This record gives sequence, structure tokens and C-alpha cells, in this order.
Amino acid sequence: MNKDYDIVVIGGGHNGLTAATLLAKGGKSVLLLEKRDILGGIAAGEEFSPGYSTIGLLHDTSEVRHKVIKELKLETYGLSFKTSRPLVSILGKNKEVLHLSSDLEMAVSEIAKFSQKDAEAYREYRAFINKISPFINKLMDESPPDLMNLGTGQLWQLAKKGIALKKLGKKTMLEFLKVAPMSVADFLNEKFETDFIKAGIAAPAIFGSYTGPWSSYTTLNLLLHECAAQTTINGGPESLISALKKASEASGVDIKTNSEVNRILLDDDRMVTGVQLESGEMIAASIVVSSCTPRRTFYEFLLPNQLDFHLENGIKNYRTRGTTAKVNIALNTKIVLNGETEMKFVRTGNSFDEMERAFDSVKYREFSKEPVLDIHLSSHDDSEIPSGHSVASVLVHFAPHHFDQGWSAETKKELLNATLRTLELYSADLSNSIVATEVLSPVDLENRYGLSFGHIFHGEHAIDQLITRPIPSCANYKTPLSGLYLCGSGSHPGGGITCMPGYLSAKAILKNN
Amino acid sequence: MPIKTPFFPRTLALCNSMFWKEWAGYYAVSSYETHHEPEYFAFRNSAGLLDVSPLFKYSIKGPDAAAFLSRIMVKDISKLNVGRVSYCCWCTDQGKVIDDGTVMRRAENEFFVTSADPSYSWFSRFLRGYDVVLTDVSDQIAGLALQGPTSREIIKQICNADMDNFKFFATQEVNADGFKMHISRTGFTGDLGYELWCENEHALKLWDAIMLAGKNYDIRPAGLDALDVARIEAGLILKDVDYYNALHALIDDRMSTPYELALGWTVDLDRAPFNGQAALKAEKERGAQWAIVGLDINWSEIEALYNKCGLPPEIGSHSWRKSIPIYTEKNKLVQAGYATSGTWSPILKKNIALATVEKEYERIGSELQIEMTVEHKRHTVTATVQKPQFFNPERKTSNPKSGQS
Repeated sequence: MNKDYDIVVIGGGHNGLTAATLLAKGGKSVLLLEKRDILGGIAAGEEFSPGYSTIGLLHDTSEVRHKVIKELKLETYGLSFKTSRPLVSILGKNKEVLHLSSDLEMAVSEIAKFSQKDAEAYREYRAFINKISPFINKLMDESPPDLMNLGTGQLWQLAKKGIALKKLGKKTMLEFLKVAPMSVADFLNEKFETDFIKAGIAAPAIFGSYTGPWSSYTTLNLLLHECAAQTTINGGPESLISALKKASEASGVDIKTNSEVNRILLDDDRMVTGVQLESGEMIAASIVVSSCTPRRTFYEFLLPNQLDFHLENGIKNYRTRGTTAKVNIALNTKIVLNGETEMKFVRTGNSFDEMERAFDSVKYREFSKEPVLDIHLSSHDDSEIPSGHSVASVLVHFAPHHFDQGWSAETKKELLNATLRTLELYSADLSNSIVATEVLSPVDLENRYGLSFGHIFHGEHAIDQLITRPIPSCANYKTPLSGLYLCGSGSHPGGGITCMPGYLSAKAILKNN
Repeated sequence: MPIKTPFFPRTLALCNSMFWKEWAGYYAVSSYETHHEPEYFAFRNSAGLLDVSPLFKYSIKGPDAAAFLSRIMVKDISKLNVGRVSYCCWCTDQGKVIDDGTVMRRAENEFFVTSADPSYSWFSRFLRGYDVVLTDVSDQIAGLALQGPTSREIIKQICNADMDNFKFFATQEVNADGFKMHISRTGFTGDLGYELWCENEHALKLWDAIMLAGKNYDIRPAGLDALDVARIEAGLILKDVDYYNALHALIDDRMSTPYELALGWTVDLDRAPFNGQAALKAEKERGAQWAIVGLDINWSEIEALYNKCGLPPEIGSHSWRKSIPIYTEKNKLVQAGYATSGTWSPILKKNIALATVEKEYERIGSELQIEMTVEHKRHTVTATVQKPQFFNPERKTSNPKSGQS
């Protein structure tokens, strides 16, 4: 078969774009296929009602790796960023607002308004984060060790990680090893006393996953987030995608939108020969890189008998139970929450008990009637929104992918009402200024973005799925099928907008080919 | 506690010896009389009736049934014609044999599979993407094996089947007295024989009909002791005796590929992907490390060893199943392999065994040494390598009219 391209990349989200650009820069001819008419995937800014847009399904770009921005020279393609995380505001039910700045002294003095003890605890907490940060960031910035083929080189890689852990010093290392497996509630209860502050700090540890604050290993998730969140991108995901698109075009990537892949094609020896699109068009390439979820890649793009049993079973057991819904709200005023305006990133939660109860719902196949909200607010200044109006982009935790009633216009309306009721705790007359709303259930997320079971991270961030992500035989971006690679959030270091799976995958491909 | 098969009321009444064993959780007769030899000779000279209900049985139905089984089995089941039976095995990703059994294509989209081990769990792992219904019918379907030269004539008496044109490894649905059943020309004795499959509720009726019709054909109920002698003569290997289920093997060395079990002929390599394909392709190219062979153990040497002790030869009339070392030369402890089961063959008047030997020793006619303990002392006896099919009568596959299958 003649080759049309060296490499086909499936999926035009942040990871697909990152991988495609790096591969093209590495001298490969690359075609990027996107099923939708726009690039960006869950990082794409989208108009949800005439005149009102969001900056992306996910809005948090604080974990985008500086390494990727530098190496792809994204700043020359219009990206502007700061090497600190954006300010996050935490709401309490009694009109409290805590502005948690990346600046330690500012954060401490804000917390001191509520509790002197918590202010001091936060200082210690940040000091601990700063100590372990080099180790955590090393884990995130490097390919995971190939545990399936532990040769001398791999053992050396493992040893270096051990040394990095040891370098933290005995006290910090022991503290890290003690707290990482803990539930985030236990961990923060040891340090802090104010409920809504604890809940607000803990929130990133449970977002997107099948976990509540009392689930084990959620502290590890919190530490990963705290160490990784070091970036503020002006304009958010939308700007990131715009820069990535320009970078990919400049490096010679051919991009085809409206091109949904139907099959990854293999020869008799199960070597990749290309892809077939839904339109029937065949594109020949000896390497295919999928930024889609591992489940979609193996279960939808390949025939059942093309998977060995261990692969079939591994993917079956790779947990991707979506727990997040999205509600976009357009308002004809500036939004006021607990009396404050001018906020961008806002979290609710109030207490561990309330968060755990919200999570309990999905365990018992219901959506939460009092959900935990992760909100991004945009105005005319940073998005395509009429002047004086605003958009609240709300990630709603927790909502299951499937449940007895199932998702319908009716149940989505109930979810919207639950979300609005929760918002009204902080903004009593919010409903009067609503112009338009959009509700995306986990099933909608699956249908629109190809997220298996609507999981925004392509697979849960659980310890067993982080060490050898997604499964041991695919943990180093290559798969048991020769020529097929993974580069999405289902691979190390995982979901959220980091661009790192795409980056590390491209590096691995260029090394092997 | 073992449970009863649908034929238990009959087998219990006939089992004078009270010799029972447990087979897959069921009571199974070892031998009806205190010695199994009359039952063995029924298999070879008239007809023996054996309750095979403890076999595991699966129904696979649906538009993708053939594709589903082709993915699991080493044989390309999609090429199996309706009304035909295939003997085959199934493997792990590493090409190691899990179990062997028969696959019967009863209709375009309808299959019946028998196995020695419970297989639902394994089969069901591959259901995703196939429009099939897999049902474990082990405890719904009763099975009888009627084996021996007169079995054809007996079955003619009890149903409407066209027995004279019933080919080896064919299967058909037939009407018996008031019920339907399936017959397959299969068995585990290496002789002319059939297996009959009916719903549990008709089991006793079927048994009675066969026993009545068989009266004039010297029919005899037969147990597992007789079967074991017959199956070794036929060179048919047995899971957990001559090989291990790869899923149960505690160490890799206990796993076998089809090529090592003389089942290479059942493997269809060049086709749509199936379980173990890549590993089996590599194995075929590399060549198997082990081979299953038949051994003809020299009788004069056995006699001489006993004579030295002043004893007549003592050879058990039962088959045996244990691992016995096979050496390359007399008085030299270089092991060529190991025998896994053996028996005195009443029809061949030979002492025979099935053995696993390293590939270089599989040549027909070459002489190896098998360990033998006589009067508490170990010796070796010459054993000549031959094909595992020690006994393979023409009637096994032939038909009365055409003279062959």
C-alpha cells in the first residue's frame, strides 16, 4: 500500500494538535483528522446560543506545561501566559468569598479574614507543596517507566525517580508517602478548620472522577493538581487551541475537519496500514496516533477479533465512568455571587459532607440534586459576549452517564434546575437575568466529543490508572498493535488540559521511528 | 457432593460393582461390573453405552455465531458446513491450549460446543461486538455415547435417521419416539460410534429405547475405566492427564501449544484474527519444542525383568495416568520426555503409552527407554515410538454403502 502520510493523528483536541505539531517538526508528514467541524475537542470555545460562547468545555488551563508552550513556540503564535496559576474564588453558603491567589502572602491574608489558624496551616501546606513539586513535576514531564519491558535503561529510569523522591529529604518524603494514599478530607482535616475553605481546596481532587472527598488516594490527586497548576493562559483553552492550530499549520500538518474515523486498518500481521473514514475514504499511513479515549480507540476503531484477550479485557476494566455534566448559562447582566463581581474561577462545595453527598448520588445511579460546581465566568472582555452580559460555564459534579430514568429533555431540565437552585444560594435573583442555557449530560459529552461514558479525563484518575495509564501494555504510548499509538488524556500523565500526553507520545514515536 | 445425571436412575440400578467416580461434579460409573474388560470389549466388538452428560455443553446462536467461534477456536469455524462437526482446541493469547472439544454446526447460525472444562467464562469474554447468544446448556442437555461396531444398527431401531449415509463427524437432528434429539458421529473410543444429545426430560426414554433396541446387538452399559483403555488405544489425549489447561497451569512449562499436542492439523493460521494467532504463527515458524507420541513398550524385556526375580509378569489390566520418565538410552539418565498415560491394550495385545517427548525424539520407529519398577527396583524397558493412533479401524470412518466416508 502506498503511503499517503507517514502519520495520521486522530482527534484535533489539545493533545492531538500537540502531537501532530511535534511529529511534523520531527520531519514526518502528518495528517490530523477531526470528526467535528471545529478543532479543539473539549478545549474548543463554542457558541452555545447566538451571541454567547464559552471558552471551552473545560476551562482550567492552569496545568498546561510550560515545556510544551516553549518547545512549540506557542507565544509566536499568539499565546500569552503567566507562570503562575489564576486566582480562584471559593464560595461559602453564608456569603463568604475567599480569593485564593497564587501569591502566598495574599492568600494567607485572605484566609486570615476567616481563620488565623487556617492562614498558618495554609502557609505550611504551600511549603509542603513547594517541596514535593520538583518530584511531582518530574513524574509528569517524563514518560512512565515501561514496566512491561524492564531492561537496564528502564530500571535506571525507575531508580532516578526513586532518587528524586529521596532527594525531597527524609521528612518530606515520609510525609508524602503518608498523605498520598489518604482521602483528601482526612488530609485537610488534619490541617484546616473552616469547612468551606477545606471544601474549596479539596475540590480539584474529586472533579471529573468517581470519587468523593472521603475516597482513598484523593490526596494524591490534590497534590498532583497543586504541583501542576502553574500557568495562566490569557483567553483560556480557546486561545491555547488557536495557538496550537497555527503552530501545527506552520509546521506543515495537514488538517481535515468533518472527518470522522470509522476504522483503523491493519494488515494480516496486525500492523497498522492506515485509517478508513466514515465517508469510506481510505488514508494509508504506517503510524496512527489516537488522541481519542483508549476505549473508543480499541473498541470502536478496531474489530473485536483484532484485540488480544489481554487487551480486550484490559480496556474493558479501564474505568471510565463519567460523573460530570456541563451547564452553560448566558445572562444579560454581570453575574454577582455572594455580592462579588469580577471573579473568573469559582468553586462551591461548602463542606466535605455536602460534597460526599453529591458524590453519593452517582454511586446510587442518580444525579446530585445539590451538586458541587466548578464555574468559569466570562464577560465581554474575554469572550464573544454582548457588552454588559456574562456567561457562566459550569461543570456540574456529580451526574452519572447512565441511570434508571436515563437522560432526556426532562431529566436534563431537572439537572438544570438543580444547578440553578445551587447557584441561587450565592446569587438570589440569578434566574431573572438568564437569556439562554445549554445542558450537556455525560451522554451528550460522549456523543459530541467521543468521550467514552462521558468521562472528561478519558478514564478515571485512580492510582491504579495513573501508574500504568491506561493499562500496562499501552502505558508507554505504543500499543500491542504495531504502528498504533495513544496520545490522549487516557495516557500518562492523564486528563485535564496539560498537552503532556500529546507531547510525550510524539517524543516516543519520534524515538522509535 | 457430586450430583446425579439425568440417567442416574438407570446407571445406579445397573452398577453392580458400586465403582463410581466423580466427573465434573457428577457421579459417573467407573465400571458396572467388578472388572471393566467386558465393557471394553463391548466398545470393540458390539456396542457400549456411556453416559457423557457431565461434559460441558454450550449453545451459540445468532448471525455472528460462526465469526464468534472462529475468533475463539484455532480452527476457522466459518468454513464448517452445516451438519458437520469439528474437533478443535482453543488457546490463550500466547497460543497455549486451554481445552479441546467438538463444535457442531446444527444450522447456519446455530452451534453446539462440548468441552471438558467449564468454558462459559472464557467464551463470554469475547462476546463484545458479536450478535450472538451464548448459553450454558450443560445441565439442560443429556448426552449418551453409543460406541462400537453394532452401534449403527441399534440407532436405526430407535429413530428415523438415515444411518447408512451418516458420515464420520457429521451431525443431524432426528425424531425418536415422541421427541427430537441430535446425533453426532463422534466419540472418544476411536471406533464406529455416535453421541446422542437430548433434553433432560427425554433422557430416560432415550436410554430405555437404546437398551431395548440393543438387546439383539450385545449392548452393554460401559463406564469410564473401559473408555480410558479405548481412548489411549485411539491416541486421544485427555486434559489434566496428557496436558494442562493453560488457564489452570501454575507454571509456564505446564502449558502446551496445539503443535506440541499433535493438534497442529486443527490450526487454520491464515485467516481473520483469532485468539493466539500471532503466537501460533511464530510457533509454527520456530517449530514446536515437544511432541506427543505413542510408545510400544517391549513385552519380552518386561517378562525378562520379572523372570529375574522369579515372578510372572505383573501388568495391571487398568489404564494408568501418571508421569513416568522416558530416557534416551538404557542406563543413561538423559531424559527424552515423559509418559502421561498408558494401558495394556487387550485388542492389540501390547503394552502402550502416550508420551510427551522433545521434538528430536519423535521419529517413528526410534527406540527410547521407559522407566519401570519391578520388585521395588527401577529399570528401563525399550519403548518404540509410533503414531499415537495405536488402533484405528476402517469402520470408524466408513459407511456401509459407499464403503468409506
